[in-house]
Amino acid sequence: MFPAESESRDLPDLSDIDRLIHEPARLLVMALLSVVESADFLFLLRQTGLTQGNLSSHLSKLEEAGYVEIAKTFQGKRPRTTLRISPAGRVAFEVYRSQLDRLLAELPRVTGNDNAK
Amino acid sequence: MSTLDLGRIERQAWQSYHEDGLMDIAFGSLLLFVYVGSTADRLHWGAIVALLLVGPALALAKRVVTAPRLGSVEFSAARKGRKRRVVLFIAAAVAASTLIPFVLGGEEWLRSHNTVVSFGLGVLVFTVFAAVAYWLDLRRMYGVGSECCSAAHSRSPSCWVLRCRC
Repeated sequence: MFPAESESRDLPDLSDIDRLIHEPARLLVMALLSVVESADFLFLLRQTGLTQGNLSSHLSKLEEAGYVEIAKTFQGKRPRTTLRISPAGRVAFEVYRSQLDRLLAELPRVTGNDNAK
Repeated sequence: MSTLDLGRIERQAWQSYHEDGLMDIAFGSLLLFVYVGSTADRLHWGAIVALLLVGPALALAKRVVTAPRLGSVEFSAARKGRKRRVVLFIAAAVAASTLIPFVLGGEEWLRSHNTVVSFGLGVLVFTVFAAVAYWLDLRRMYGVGSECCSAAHSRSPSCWVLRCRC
């Protein structure tokens, strides 16, 4: 039997979630950048455990969306990439967090007994 | 409570940034300079010079040794405030350990109250390390503080305060 129309309308709406942030690696990058003023590429590489290419590609996507600001400088002869979350990125991340919190709070708890049934 | 624990993420990032051991070397050097300085001269110059040098030396070592290997990061204003609090606390502790004995009655009083001085010094040293552990989220400093505290008790500690060779 299909659920009543009113019941399906009560289900949390997933379409509002920001898919760009929702991807696990990008979520970790955004979470890290949201708690620090700025960090360089090497620091993020160590913290996330991603490969260079993978991290670079995720950062490019976040930069394109305007969530992250990337500054490339030289320290002596060494290139240095400094990253910081942009004001738009901070807002998007906060919205994502509150949406996720609300979504998970609305879901019913699944207990062991429920699974057995 | 939020699903994403940002406080935990920030704490982990902070602790991993200080896995290089430079902070431990800095506090070890500070203790060494304070001890050697207090036994070598009467005006605690060793301690004062150490206090002035340890900060810049630590910052330089972070830039030259740690940053190229572990990456560099600028933490939030709250973290910087906690760091400033630790520096002020250490400066206050050094000032207190220098001034209080003179206020209480000088060398004679210190010699006659060896046990009290020993206990007070041990507590002061532990308090400094506990403050570092608490404000900087470096829990291993509680252990370092306990060891330094027991060392202050075991080795005639009034030597530190009296600034005489022993």
